[in-house]
Amino acid sequence: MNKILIIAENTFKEAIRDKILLSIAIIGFLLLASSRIFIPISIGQASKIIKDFGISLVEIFGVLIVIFVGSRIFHQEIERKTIFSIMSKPVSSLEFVTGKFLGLYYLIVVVQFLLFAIFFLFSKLYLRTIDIYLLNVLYFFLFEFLLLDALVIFLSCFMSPLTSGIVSLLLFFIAHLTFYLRTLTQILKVPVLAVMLNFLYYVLPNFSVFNIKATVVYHLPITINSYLLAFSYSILYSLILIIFSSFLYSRKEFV
Amino acid sequence: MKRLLLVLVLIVLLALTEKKGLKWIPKQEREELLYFPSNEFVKGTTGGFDLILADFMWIETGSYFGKHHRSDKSYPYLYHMFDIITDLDPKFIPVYTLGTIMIATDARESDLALKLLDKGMRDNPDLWQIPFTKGFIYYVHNRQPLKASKWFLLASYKKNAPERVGKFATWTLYKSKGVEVTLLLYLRLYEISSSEIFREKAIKGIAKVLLDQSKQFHEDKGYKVKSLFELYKAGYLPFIPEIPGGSFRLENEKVIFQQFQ
Amino acid sequence: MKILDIKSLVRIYRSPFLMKKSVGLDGLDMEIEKGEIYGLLGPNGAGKTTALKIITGLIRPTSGEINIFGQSDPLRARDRIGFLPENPSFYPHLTGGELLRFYAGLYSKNLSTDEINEKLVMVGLDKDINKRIGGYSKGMMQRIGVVQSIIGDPDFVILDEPLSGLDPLGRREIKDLIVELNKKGKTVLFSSHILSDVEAICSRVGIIINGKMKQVGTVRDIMKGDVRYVEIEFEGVKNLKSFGKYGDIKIKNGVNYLRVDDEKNKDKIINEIIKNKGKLLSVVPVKNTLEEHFVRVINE
Repeated sequence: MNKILIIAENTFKEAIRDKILLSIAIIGFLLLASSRIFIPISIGQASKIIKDFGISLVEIFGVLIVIFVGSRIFHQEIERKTIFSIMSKPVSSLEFVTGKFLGLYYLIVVVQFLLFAIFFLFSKLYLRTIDIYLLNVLYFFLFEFLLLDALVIFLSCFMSPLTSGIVSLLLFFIAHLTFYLRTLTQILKVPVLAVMLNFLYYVLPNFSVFNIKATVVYHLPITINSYLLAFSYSILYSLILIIFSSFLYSRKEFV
Repeated sequence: MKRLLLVLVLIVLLALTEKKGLKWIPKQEREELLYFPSNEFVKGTTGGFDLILADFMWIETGSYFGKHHRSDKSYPYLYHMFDIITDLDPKFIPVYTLGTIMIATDARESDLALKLLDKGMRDNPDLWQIPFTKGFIYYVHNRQPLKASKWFLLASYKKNAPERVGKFATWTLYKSKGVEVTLLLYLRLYEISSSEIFREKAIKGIAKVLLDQSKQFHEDKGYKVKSLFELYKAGYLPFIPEIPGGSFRLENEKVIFQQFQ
Repeated sequence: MKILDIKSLVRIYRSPFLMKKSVGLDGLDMEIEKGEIYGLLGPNGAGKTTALKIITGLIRPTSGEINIFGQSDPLRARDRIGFLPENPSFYPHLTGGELLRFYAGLYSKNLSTDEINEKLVMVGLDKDINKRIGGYSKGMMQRIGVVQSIIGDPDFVILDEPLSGLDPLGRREIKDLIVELNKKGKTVLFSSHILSDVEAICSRVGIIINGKMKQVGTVRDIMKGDVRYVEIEFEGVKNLKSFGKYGDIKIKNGVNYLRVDDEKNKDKIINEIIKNKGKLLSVVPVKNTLEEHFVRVINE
């Protein structure tokens, strides 16, 4: 476990010292500050729109960081040739992959909290109020990004950075629509297709379990089941992906 | 230097294209290009960002409305845009309360407005605002007070419905000459009112109905009715209204409400 | 005791799209005894780096046997191995101290600041402990690379071109370090192009060409047949005419220096000197340098 944490810490440090965090904070700050423009054009819906914009922006940044940093996470080691010094040490592929996964996750958690703090700052400034109930969405975001992190790590084990980035982004969007697959299986009369779609429904990650933005914006109650589902689905799916990733990584050679 | 010049030329060309090029496309076609996305397409491509997209569409719809309001006063895509917004964000209430009125009033498509409100009620069954708006459209645009009153009545039963909603119901119902429902509405108004003013209004409303019916009886039969019971037996009242804490009686075509001590 | 035993190791590289294959190793045999400093020589593309990467588990052989510390799977022996890759590269965002602490952690070792400093002093990087690796010169990178290879106190240190990019002082320091490590009981395997350095410190040398081991042995054994000429010093012989047929003679301060190209004539000449009542002062065989020998082996 210690080796995993050491690798995770190094991955996190690398991203932080890369000034990526500073760039994101600045861009996030500017974009959240710009939400002021919605006030005169919102036709009475300024509060709702600023909240929607704020939490959507926090989520979008999380998605972009995971995909952008995660898709290059292994390739960078190979490109820079730092991989030789690591993989010749007594580090298993599981430890290496898990360390990278956790390091990227630390980064996302920090960015999410930072952006949320900036969002609350502007919420106070523009709306004169902070809606604490919105913090619930952060919990779900953190589990969403855990899964997305594992997904990107898995894809980057066997795809180039560009391909894994594009595929991750596509899967993120598709994964919000898995319920359509279910509907399609009921509509389609072709059994083979229905079986395939059913299979895809279960295999593809279902990101809609983390989507409670409407619930928090409208102050609807969030059931304990929703919390538990987000937690357990994310953890289990991520574990499976990391195990697969470590298996794939163990088959790699570093020529 | 040559590359810099080339870039500058390209920028100028781009600016000209943007300024002039769009004018080559007919106005209506331009708008059609903008508003072609189907609901399914939009819903399927949001990646979970439905709410913010609904918000942007709301702003865009406001802009669309304003532009046409200042020009041709024609809003062919208004319903479609509100429909997409509510697909993305079913709890976006202003679409139902403000948007449908715009569809009925400005776009003159009250059927579509009512259709959107039905959708809103499916997704927000507990809100009083949506059936109330439906009642409003029936009354103001469709001139169907009976139908309006039904929706106002439904709205009045919803949680947190203000007292005036019930009043709307009774008033429109009365306008449609629906005696039974009018009485029921006033009784309901009395029941749910906490303020004396509204209770008094309810009593006066019931009294007016009873008076009107007694006058009608006189007109029809040629003689004055002696009691509420006679009015009821003659079919001019569906029932004799009773209020806890008092009772109505008829004397010489005057309705008297006696409060119990 | 052998710590590394390689038999008939083959490694074929296949290009996935072009279906071309190239042979990295073509039946390599190699043994390294405990406590040796083993120098691996070979021209570019001979298979040195391929061999080292297989030993460290970075790549897998196509066929053949490898046994390291009694393990047939190199991955299991990694905790006893330290490796410096060729043209090493390390995380630019870390300082020298952080890098060593990081690698030490991968060996499950927790080093104190003093211990880190001590390691950096060994290669003259103690003043740059807080400098980021991204600002290191090639020489500094090489030095920190050598240090990271021994940070886990491994029994077997494998260095791929450790002297590359270093100035003469740096090379001297690293060579001394290698010798020092060896004195502490560590076995060292290193590849190099700088043959004079290999000559100076290796107990044994292996010459690998086209993926096969061509020659193995101590430098002396390898160079045994490599006498360029023999120089015989003698004096007291009046008539030098009979010696002219063996080679060139130079006379200096009454001493005769005969350069004999064919070593086989050595004994005849000695007898001749004795017969002419001369005094034999010395017989010195002058050999090829390892470099000249190496070039000769490659061209064979």
